[in-house]
Amino acid sequence: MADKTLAVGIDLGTTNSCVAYLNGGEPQVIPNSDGYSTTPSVVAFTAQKNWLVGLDAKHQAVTNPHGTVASIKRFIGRKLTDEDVQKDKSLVPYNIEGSENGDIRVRLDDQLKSPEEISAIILQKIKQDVETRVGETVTNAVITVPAYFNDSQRQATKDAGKIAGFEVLRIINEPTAAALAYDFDTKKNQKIAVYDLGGGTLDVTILELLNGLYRVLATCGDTHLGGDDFDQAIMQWVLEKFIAEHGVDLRQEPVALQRLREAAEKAKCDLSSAAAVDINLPFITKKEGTPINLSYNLTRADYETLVGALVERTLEPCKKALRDANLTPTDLNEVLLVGGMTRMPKVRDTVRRFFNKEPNTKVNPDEAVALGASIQAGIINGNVRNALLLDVTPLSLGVETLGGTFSVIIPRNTTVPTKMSKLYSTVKDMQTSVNVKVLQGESKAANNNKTLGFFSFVGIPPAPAGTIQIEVTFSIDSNGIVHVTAKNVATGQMQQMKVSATSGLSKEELEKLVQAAKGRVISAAPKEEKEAKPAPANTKKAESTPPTQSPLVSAPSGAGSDKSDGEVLTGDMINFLLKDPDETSHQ
Amino acid sequence: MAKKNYYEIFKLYPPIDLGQLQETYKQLIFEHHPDRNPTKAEWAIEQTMEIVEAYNVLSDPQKRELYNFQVKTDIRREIGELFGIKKGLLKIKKSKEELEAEEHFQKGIAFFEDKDSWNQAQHEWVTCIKLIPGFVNAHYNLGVLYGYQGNFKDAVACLERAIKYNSGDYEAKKTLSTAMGFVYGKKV
Repeated sequence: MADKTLAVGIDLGTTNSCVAYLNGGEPQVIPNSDGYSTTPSVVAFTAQKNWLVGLDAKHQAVTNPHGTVASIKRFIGRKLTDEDVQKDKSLVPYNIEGSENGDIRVRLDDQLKSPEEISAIILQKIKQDVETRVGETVTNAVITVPAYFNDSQRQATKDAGKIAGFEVLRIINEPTAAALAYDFDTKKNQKIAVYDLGGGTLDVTILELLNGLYRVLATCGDTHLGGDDFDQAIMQWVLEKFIAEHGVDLRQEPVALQRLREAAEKAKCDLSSAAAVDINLPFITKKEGTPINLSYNLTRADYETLVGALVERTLEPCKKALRDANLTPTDLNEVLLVGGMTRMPKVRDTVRRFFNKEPNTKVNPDEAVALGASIQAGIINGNVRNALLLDVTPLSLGVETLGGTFSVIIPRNTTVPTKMSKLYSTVKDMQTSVNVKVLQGESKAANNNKTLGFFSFVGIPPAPAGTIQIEVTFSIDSNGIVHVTAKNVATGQMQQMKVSATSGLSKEELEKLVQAAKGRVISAAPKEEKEAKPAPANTKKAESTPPTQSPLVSAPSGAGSDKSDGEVLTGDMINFLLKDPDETSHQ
Repeated sequence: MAKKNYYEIFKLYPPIDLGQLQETYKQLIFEHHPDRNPTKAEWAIEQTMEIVEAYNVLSDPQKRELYNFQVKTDIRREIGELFGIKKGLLKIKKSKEELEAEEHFQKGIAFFEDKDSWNQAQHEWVTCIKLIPGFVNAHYNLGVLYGYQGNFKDAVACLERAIKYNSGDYEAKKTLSTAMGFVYGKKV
């Protein structure tokens, strides 16, 4: 009875994405069209009106700062008024605006694109590459999200999958997927922690493994803490030194900023193995008509001081998760490291110190999540019989009551799928509707939590106060997505419901985008540009790739590494850079 | 019953062996989880929620203790609600002892109506049994009475005797099974 159709597991990461499938029962990563196992989560809309995804998009980022979108995951499922969004808005080179209901839109050329649509473009490229490799159409997919993602973020990710043409079998949590991918001795019962520090998010999940049953005990995280913040710290350091030295604020120059962003990312990665790196950006800007060069040396020690607070911050969710699971670090058998940032020595030391054990790094931290997702796809379509996942909802679900307090209906860390019913009755005579504002979060003040929607149960027959009883059922499905229904207790009839003040795409908008996606072509970068670039150094075809290699950024000196010799400036680029700064900043 | 019978879900009774509980939990989840029952999602979700709830309580020593205490309080009520006492008299030619025993039996029933006179009810039924050891219903009623009081060990002894004298006594067996769960961790 097992489904024979191919199903893939997709890790849609903030910085990099990865896709895997079960090949003869073994989870295996599917390389992209360039032969790499991960694809940068970058989308670009070029001046020639072409869509580029992945390395192609990344490589032209410097010449197209406003049209290149990286780290869109930081915006998916959020509102413009979100505190985190306000922070990130000024740090990204692309323009963020708001839609009618306050959702986020990215301005690309003359179009306003939702994060769902941009994520869908990445997924579309992945779909294309998969279908090319396996030689058949692939529709079924399991897509992962950070465990700490709320309902809106999950729904938006599911929508992105739909727009890309996928049938999304399940949205599963990244740390749980990673736990699936580790080849544990399934005879032993174990308690493990997964510490997942990626490009944009941190998740800490505690699981109990019972002979093939993966049961999540507790999860906690920070949906705004990841590699991007570490890049930012380096950028900040460089920007300040440059202002001090030259009196020029590079934040005003999108092209310079983009080059610096890429240099910072490379420096961060290199400092995991080198004791110091050089950040070299020739012709970074002009001052009074003369081009200036940027050249600084950053030691690992100084870098660790710059990001020390960020690393310490990652311990907070570790403590909370353990507390919720009612365990101490000694109770755990293993700690697994997932996500590119866990390559950083200081992160590893901090994790080792906190959990008092050597972290387990058996599987590639960039691939574990996708591999696990492909196993979950196998569980859902019946091909995998010896494993099952019991995950939890990360945030408490509740309603707003009198005085603006938050009343919890389903507490955080409740196993899903789950549901809870509550009785409501009318408070006034002839009242024809009952209203309920549903939120997710841990604050006792409803205002500080995330509003999922304002539900109005209408069409209640007029009657004296208190005589009509409505049973409202709150359920959270296996995706961690919330559903609210209600029925009239006396008649047993389902209650008509109107929903407002939600986030995300309406049914109509979603349908439109699904149709629009069908006609979209994702180009490969024009041949001319490709020849001018050497292949990224130190990368292996069809195997795990250091996901952030870019030939445009200078390599560390004196580190004895065999990385590329320096920034590669093509003829096009040099012409571009020597243009009047005023021209370039108004791109 | 005020509380759900978590032990019944696992078919395991106290004292619980954690390893066995975990193994049973895993088997039950594999059997009932919605991902393994795609055609019966609604049912699977209800079942899984119950199993998860039961495991969360029974696997945590503190929660389990509290649950046991609450259940013991409820079981007294349950035995009363489900089983009640028996009022049937001896169905044979009655001798002098047998008539006397029946008198005590009926007095016991009368005393049993009022909780404050349960001790007297107990005394009457014990006397009854001393006269006629084979008085099945007296054994049964004593068992129920002890169960009400939370004294499951003696309840079990009485019910076992009732079954010894009348092996076809279905109600006695049912009551015994419930009581035994709390004493020996065995099932009948």
